[in-house]
Amino acid sequence: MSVVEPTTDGTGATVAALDAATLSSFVEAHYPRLIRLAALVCDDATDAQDAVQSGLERAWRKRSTLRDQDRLPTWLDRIVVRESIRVSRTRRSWTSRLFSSVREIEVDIVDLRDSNRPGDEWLDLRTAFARLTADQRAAVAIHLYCGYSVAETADLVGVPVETVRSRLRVARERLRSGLGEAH
Amino acid sequence: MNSNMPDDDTLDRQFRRFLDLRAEELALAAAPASAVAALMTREPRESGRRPVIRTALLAAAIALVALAIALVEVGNRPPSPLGARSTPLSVVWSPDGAKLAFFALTIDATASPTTAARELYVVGADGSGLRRLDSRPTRSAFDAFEAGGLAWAPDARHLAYSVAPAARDGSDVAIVGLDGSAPIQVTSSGDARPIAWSPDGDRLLYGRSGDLGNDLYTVAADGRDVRQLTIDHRAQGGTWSPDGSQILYEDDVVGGTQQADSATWVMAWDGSGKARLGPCCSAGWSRDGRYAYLDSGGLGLLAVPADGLGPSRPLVDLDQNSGWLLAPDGVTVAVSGDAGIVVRGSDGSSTSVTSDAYDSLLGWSPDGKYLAFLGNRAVSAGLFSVPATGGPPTLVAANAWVEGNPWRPGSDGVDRLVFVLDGDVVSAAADGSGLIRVVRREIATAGDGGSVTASGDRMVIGPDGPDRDLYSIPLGSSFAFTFENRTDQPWVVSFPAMDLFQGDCHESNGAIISLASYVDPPSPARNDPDTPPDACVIGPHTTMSVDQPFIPNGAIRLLVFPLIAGGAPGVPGHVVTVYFVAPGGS
Repeated sequence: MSVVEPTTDGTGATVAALDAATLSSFVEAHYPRLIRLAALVCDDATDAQDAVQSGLERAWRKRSTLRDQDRLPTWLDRIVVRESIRVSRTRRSWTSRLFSSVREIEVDIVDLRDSNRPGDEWLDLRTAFARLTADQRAAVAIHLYCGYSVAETADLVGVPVETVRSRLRVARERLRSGLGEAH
Repeated sequence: MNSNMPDDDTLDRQFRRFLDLRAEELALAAAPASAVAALMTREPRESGRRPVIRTALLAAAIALVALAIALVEVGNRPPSPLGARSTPLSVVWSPDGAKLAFFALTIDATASPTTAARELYVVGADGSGLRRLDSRPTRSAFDAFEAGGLAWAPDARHLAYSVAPAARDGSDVAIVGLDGSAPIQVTSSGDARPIAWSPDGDRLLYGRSGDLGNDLYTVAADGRDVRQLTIDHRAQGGTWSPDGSQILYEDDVVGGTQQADSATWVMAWDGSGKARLGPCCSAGWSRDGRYAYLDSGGLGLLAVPADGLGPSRPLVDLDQNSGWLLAPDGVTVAVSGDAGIVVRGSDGSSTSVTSDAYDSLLGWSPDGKYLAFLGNRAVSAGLFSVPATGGPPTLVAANAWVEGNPWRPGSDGVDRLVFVLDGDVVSAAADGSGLIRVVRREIATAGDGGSVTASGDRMVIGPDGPDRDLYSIPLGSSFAFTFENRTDQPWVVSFPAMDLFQGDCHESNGAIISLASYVDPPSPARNDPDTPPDACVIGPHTTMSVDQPFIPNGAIRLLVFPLIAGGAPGVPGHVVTVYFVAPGGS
C-alpha cells in the first residue's frame, strides 16, 4: 500500500506543519480499520478514538522512517495496538470500568431487545470480553479479528510467542465460559 | 464446561462473529474519520503533549458522573473485579459484619518508571457495592505492605486509615466517610497511625511520632478538634475503656524522668488524670471496664482495678514466648506456645486445643465457641478453625492470607471468616464451605495468562518486575525457591514473614549471598544492619536459590524491588504471594 508519500523534511515535524490534505487522506484511508481494532483492544469507543488519533499522529510524524510502504498497515496496526493497550491500562480507571461493566451492560440489554442482533448469548460474551485484560483483548483482536498469525501477533504486541499463546488460551477459556453461561 | 459446548473451530467462528459485531458497534460510537482528521489538522500540538485533552477531560467528567451514580446505586451487584496487579491487603470487617474494607496495592508496570498506588476499598459482605474510597500513589511496596492501621468507626460510617505521603518518609492519618465525602487528612507530618475509635464513634485515637518521640492524640470524626493527650513523647499503645471514658497506654516517663522500664498508665479520654496502674504492658479491659488487663511478662496476665483501688489478681500464667487472645467473655484466654494452643478459663481450667507449637492464633469467633489459626498440617498449610473446647481442626482454606481476626463480627457472625485467596477477597464458613469470592481480581502475571500451578517455584525478574505475582511450591519439609534476575540491575527479595539465616540464599554456583534488611525507600545506603535481616540481593543476570528448612503457616508474601544506588523514591516494588501445594493437590 502506498497511500502516503514520505515527507521531504524527515524531521518528525509537528502535525500542523504538514500538508493537511495529505494528512486527511492518510487518516481516512486507515481510520476505519484502526478504530475497530483499537475499539476491541480498549472495549471502549472513547479510549479507542484517543488511541487511534495518538497512534496516527505518531505514525504520521515517523512515516519517513518506514522504508517498505507495503508494510504500512501492519506498522500502523502495531502502533495503534500498543497505544490502545497503553491507553486502556492508564486511562481506564476502576471507576470507568465500573461504569462500563455495569451501566453499559444495562444499556445493552435495552439495545438488544430493540434490535435484530443475535440473542442473549452475546450479553454474556461481551461481559466476558469486557473482563479480559487489555493484553488479552489485544491478542484476541489481532489474531481472531484481524487474522494475524500467533507469531505475527507476538511481533505486533512485542511479547514472546508463548505469552501470546497463553493470553489467547486464557481469553478463549473466559470467552468460552461466557458463551457457556448462555448454553 | 457445558457438555453441549461446540468444538474449538466452531467457537472461534462464534468469537469472530462476536468480534465483528462488537467492533462495528464501538466504531459507530466513535467519532468518524473526518472528525479525527480535522482534529489532527486543526490542532497543532507540542511534541509530547497528550492528544485529545478535551476528549480525556470529557471522559473524566463522564467517569466522575458515573462514579457519582455508582456511589448512589450500590445495590446487589455481582462482585466487581479488581484490576490485575492489585494485591488486597488488610481486609477488615465492619463492626456490624455487613461490609469489608481493605487496601489494595496496584502496580502499573507499564508506566516508566513503574508506579504503584495504595487504594482503599469498601464492599458489601456479599460482594455488592465495591467502592474505592481513596487512591494515592505510593513510593514503594514497603508503604503498601505495611498498610495496617485500618479502623472502622463503631457505627460503620467512617474509616480511619494510614496514608503514605508521596514526598517524605512516615505516615499520615486520614478519615473518610462512607457517604461519598472526600477523605480528610488529619496529620501532615511525622509518622502517624490510627489506633482505635472511641466506643461511641465520636473520636479517633491515634499516635504520632515526631523527632522527639511518640504521643497520643484524638480527633473528632470530622477531622476537627485535635487534642494532644500526652506530651512526654514516650507514650505507646492506647486502648479505649468500654465506656470510652478512659484510655490505657504505656509510658516510661515519671515526673519528667525517663525510667528504665515502661509502665502501664490510664488517663481520662481528654488526657487528664494520668495514673500509673502497674508494669508494662496494657492488654485490654474487662467487659465491665472495672479492670485493666496487663500483660506483665513473667507475672502473666494481671487484672488491675482501673481506679487503682484494690488488689490486682492474676488472670492467666503466661510463658514469655506465648501469644494470647482474650475471649469475647473477657475472662477466658487462648494461649499459643510450645504446647500449641491452650484455652485457659477463669476457673483455672486448661484445655489443649492443638499441639503444634507453630500454630498462629488469629481470633475468637464472636460467640467464643471457635478459634481461628494459621497452621501447617500434612493436608495443607493455611487457615484452620477449631472448637475452643477441643476437637479436630477444620481446614477453612489452604494458603489463605490473613491479617488480624478473620471472624465476621456480630451476633450472627459465628460462621464466616474472611481472607485473601488467589488475590481475591474471599469469605467462607468455619468448615470451609460456602466460599464466596467477595471481590475478584483478574489473574495477574507480567506476561498475563498465568495461574497458580504446582510448578511455579521459579520467579523470573525482568525490567517490569517478577513475571507473575502468584507462585506455588510443594508443601514439604523445606522452602525452596529460585529467582532469576534477567535485568542489568540488582533486585532485592525480602521475606517479611520468614526468619532468614545466613546461608539460606545462595547463587547457583553455591556462593552464599549475604542477608540484609532494607528500609524504605530501598537503596544500598539504607540497608539497616541493626534490623533483623529478611532480604537477599540478586545481582544482575544472576540466579539465586533460597532454601530454608521451614515452611510458614500458609501463604507468604514477598517484597521484590529494584535496588537503586542512592535511593530511588518513585521506584515501587512488587508484592508477590507464594502458595504451598499439598502433594497431589492443587
